[in-house]
Amino acid sequence: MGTTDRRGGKAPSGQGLIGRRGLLLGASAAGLALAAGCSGSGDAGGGRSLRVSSYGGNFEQALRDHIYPLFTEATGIRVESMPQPAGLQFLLQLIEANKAGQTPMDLCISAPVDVMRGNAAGLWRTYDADRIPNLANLPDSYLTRRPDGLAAVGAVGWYFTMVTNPQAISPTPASWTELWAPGRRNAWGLAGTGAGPMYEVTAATYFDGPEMLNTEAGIRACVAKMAGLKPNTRLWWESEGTMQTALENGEVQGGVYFADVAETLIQSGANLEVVFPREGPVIDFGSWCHPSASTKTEEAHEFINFMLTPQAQNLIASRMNAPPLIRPELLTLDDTVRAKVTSPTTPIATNLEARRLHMDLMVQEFSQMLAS
Amino acid sequence: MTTADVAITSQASGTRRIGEPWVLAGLLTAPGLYIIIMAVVPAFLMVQLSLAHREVGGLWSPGFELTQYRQLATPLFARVMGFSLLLAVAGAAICVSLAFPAAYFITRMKRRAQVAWLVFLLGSLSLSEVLIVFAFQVLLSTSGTLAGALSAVGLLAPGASLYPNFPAVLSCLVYLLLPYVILYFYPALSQLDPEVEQAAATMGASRFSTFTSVVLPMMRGQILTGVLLVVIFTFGAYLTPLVLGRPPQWTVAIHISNAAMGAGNVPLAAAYAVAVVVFMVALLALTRLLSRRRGAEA
Repeated sequence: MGTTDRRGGKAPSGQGLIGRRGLLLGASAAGLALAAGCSGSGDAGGGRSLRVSSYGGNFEQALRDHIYPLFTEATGIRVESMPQPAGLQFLLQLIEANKAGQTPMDLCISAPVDVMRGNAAGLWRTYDADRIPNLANLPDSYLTRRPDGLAAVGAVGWYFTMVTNPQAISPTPASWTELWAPGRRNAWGLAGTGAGPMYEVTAATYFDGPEMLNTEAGIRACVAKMAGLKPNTRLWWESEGTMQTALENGEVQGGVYFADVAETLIQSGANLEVVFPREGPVIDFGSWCHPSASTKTEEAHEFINFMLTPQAQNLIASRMNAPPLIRPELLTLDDTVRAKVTSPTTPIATNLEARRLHMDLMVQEFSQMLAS
Repeated sequence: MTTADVAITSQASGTRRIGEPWVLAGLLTAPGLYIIIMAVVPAFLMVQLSLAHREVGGLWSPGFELTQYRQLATPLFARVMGFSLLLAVAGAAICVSLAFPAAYFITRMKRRAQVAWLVFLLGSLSLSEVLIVFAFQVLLSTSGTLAGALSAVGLLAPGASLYPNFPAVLSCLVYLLLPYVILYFYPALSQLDPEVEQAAATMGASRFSTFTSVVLPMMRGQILTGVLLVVIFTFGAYLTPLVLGRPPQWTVAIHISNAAMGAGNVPLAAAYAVAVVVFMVALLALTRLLSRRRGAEA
């Protein structure tokens, strides 16, 4: 199961047993990782190696078991895989470790907000685009550039979409408007992160799209519409474990959730349905980031180049249930996998510019709306 | 450290020497240093952080500005503080009115029964808060025991659940704090001279009126301190309202966490925290002032 949150939002906070366990595991893993960094390990055993961290649980496990071995086979570089917790604590710890010249990993996955924060704190080293020929496979929207170069390269995507319990919610909803429907009192578990995907959902469903979030007036209008969700929302979840528990034990009849985690739950027997509404699911992605204190720059470039191959991206789809980021025509997916990881409707992109400009306002307006 | 050792041995032989200044200084060095390093320095850093410059697209940079405090002047902050106080006072009232009689009856039991109760109470303290809160969640959920039983006898609609709401938050907080408050009252009540009550009884007072007109007034100071103890604990409640409450029942601690971990606005979170500390100190000062005035009137 996805045991750690991956959004730049709040780290698991004790809400939901699994989320909490994820936090504890993640935190201790980070602690161990920091300790390992301090002892200067990483080259043990000789040969070239690379320490790579990714969100704990499903993500990290699938990468470690199915994708990294192929990279080692192709390049001879051994990958030391480790789980990382999401959220601010991880980033702050990493900033401190990096300042001390001892990063626990050479590459990590970061949500767009953390890429931005890391950039502001001088945490990430830029890549040399010429040494990653496969960058050509990736649409430009998944690259984060700064004036001095390329700071982050898209690693893996994820959808926030509608997940329902078909026994309680029938027929299958076709639109996000179902979340506002008068007959759905106390039915949903929705993302409660202050600057989370509910902004995109609302903006795309009732307005002209997430562009509106670039202005303060747009944010306020969007929040006013979101207030209509309150009577229908039983749970405003912040850690994915909380929502998972609520879906599994029937506390909620559905809501907004990660499509890949929902797929994994379905595979393990949960009675759930992943719905891609006509307005589109919200897509967000994690990027490979390279802390500046890492000395494995050469290996990091080779690793990213490998991760952008169609071979690796096909595996991201089939093993992680996650949408690959490279151009679709390069992928060779069978129909079942394709149906799981690609939305039949155009996804709504997360408006990162709005977070860069108005993060605090978005969180404040959202909290105020919830609390009143 | 050797000074402290000497002081402790001398304390065993007679308390007179404790008053000597160098012994006292020796004894207070370790806790004093601890308080300075672990409380005063972080408090200073918190104030410093609350004045830092927030960078919306990033984290924060050093600065000296009141921007964060200006942001506290919102209806949301007033609401959240008001709710946290309401929750704390309600929790304190319930806790103390349950714990005080409970502690009183425990002290009036036979020795063995008293020990059994104390062991039970201490044992319940060893349960983690996280476990208790999630146990409450299970108990109150649709598929839980309590909701199931209530809907079986027709008191609750089938499929309804008893959380998230205010009573769920309040009852879990009372459960969490009750053992502490009973254990807090126990020593004072067990030292209450039985002859006082016997005197009241010989003068014809019933047990009830002895309790209300003799025991309660004698313990007024302890009761007030007990109330404050629960208020301070509850004001900072985090997990219980998060799991068992809806957003309107979120305490200031949850909003601090949202500001820091959600928005990455650590200066705002620090300003929230400073405001809470100031509010609590003001509340304690006010309580002390009022109780002094009442003491003077009496």
